[in-house]
Amino acid sequence: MPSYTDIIARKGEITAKALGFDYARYEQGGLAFDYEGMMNNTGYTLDDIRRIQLETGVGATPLLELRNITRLARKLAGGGKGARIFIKDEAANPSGSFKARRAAISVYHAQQHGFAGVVAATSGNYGAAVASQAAMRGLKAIIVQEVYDSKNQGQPEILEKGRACEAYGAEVLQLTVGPELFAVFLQVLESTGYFNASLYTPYGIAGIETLGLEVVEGVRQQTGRDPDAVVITHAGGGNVTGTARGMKKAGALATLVIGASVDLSGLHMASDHDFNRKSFTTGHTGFAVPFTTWPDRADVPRNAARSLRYLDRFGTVTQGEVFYATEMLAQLEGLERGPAGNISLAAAFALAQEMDQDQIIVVQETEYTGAGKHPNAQLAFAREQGIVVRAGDPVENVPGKTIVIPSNPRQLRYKEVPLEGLRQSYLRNAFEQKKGQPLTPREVEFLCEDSRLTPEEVLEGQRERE
Amino acid sequence: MKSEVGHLVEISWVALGATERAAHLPESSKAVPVIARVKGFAQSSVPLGAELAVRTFAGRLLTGTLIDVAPCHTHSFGRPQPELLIIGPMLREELS
Repeated sequence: MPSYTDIIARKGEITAKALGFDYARYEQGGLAFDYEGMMNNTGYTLDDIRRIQLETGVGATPLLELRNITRLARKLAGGGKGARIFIKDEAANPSGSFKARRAAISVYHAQQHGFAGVVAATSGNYGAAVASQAAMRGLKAIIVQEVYDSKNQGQPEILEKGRACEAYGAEVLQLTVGPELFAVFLQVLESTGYFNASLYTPYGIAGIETLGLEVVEGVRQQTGRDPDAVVITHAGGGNVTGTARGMKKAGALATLVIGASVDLSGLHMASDHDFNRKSFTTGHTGFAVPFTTWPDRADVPRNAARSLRYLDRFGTVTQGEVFYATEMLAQLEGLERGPAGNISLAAAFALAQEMDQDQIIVVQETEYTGAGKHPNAQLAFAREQGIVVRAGDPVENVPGKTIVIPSNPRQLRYKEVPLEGLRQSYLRNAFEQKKGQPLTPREVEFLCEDSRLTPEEVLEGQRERE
Repeated sequence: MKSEVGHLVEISWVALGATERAAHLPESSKAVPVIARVKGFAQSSVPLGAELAVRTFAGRLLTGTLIDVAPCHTHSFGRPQPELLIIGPMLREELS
């Protein structure tokens, strides 16, 4: 393949050709661009998106009330506390996760514009979603995955995701650990001429808006009111962005948007050594923090997933708490589901106990489970990597060293991560990009839109920097 | 073990050598190459370790070293975990 630096230098040209989307049209100088303009020009209305998704059986998933888990939360909370907990059963989508919504519009768009195939760089459920949608629409699919460490040990959950892609007829190009995956991905795009079904295009994000819309509609239908809070598993920011946009389009303006991630602090995402010392491959802080504080690190010129615009709160849970929540969902509600949604469930279970009984909190997704994804598979693998797994209080959790499974349900907690700190990190990243140059008035305005900081806070940051 | 023409196999190759990798990598990644693997239908009959072209599921012709014949998914559900087995009974007790 061409050298790493050569291909990375041509990333703009390659991705533009593989998307047919004119990002340059929305640029407003320097850091600024017209985000809403970009999102409103996909060529698809929310009604179009619903129709396109229904053509391939995507969406209209059940919204289930978790009556037994709510009863448990109320018993633990006491004092009239304990909100009703609902879950959006996104595992009912064709490829078993909400990612089918994200893939549906990209693959439809690729088909309409005469592309012979689609390529996606993903180690997550998105691969199977793209492969499944491509199978339905008669397109070829290539999924580029990061899956092995240098000792040829595959992460069990990613191995399962690769298997699912192959089941839908996709080619799965599997790589060892490293950010160079992006270069390999670009080389595949260039050599095939296929469509870049990136997770971060306006099509991908617009596809998730139906999920936010359905959550609000479903809660209104079942309870006659809007949800008080929706908990969304947060990684690259697409899930939060698309869902929140859909909720707003449904008119649920007072509903809190809460992001939840697994705490993997201290583990380096590009480290061959750390790679197999984590039991979660998505929905964790290793993606959530960098992408929240600088979205434009994605595989497209401008990332359509911009979570600081939408998050009202953000918090973490530990790996052990999510395994506990997975078991709780299966044993009390009869729903055996995969890890991603259960990150939000662990957080929602704790948050519900702070809320009143007449309030409503929604866990916004589930995903399918199976070999590799199951807690037994992940914990057995963790032990093989030398990680200590034990019962106890999850505050003793140390990412990459110890997984502590709560020894009772009172130990499930949601740990608030103040958004103010993330906003300040975002601002520092913006100043890095400016390399000492002062911000233009439009850039100040853009940074405020993008981070929900005030103009005074942005300008104060600039003064401190000088 | 040899590949059979038209049968499913797995090949691998060095996508980037250790010296060709991106800057600013953690030490453990810097020291090793980026290896790529793909499955496809063998275009010729060669022994394990030999170079081979395959036709992938997407129809691409790729070349690498033969590493497996009739590759099998071996990821599993794992052995039961004692820390998880106690959760269901405890929660049901809590609700009763």
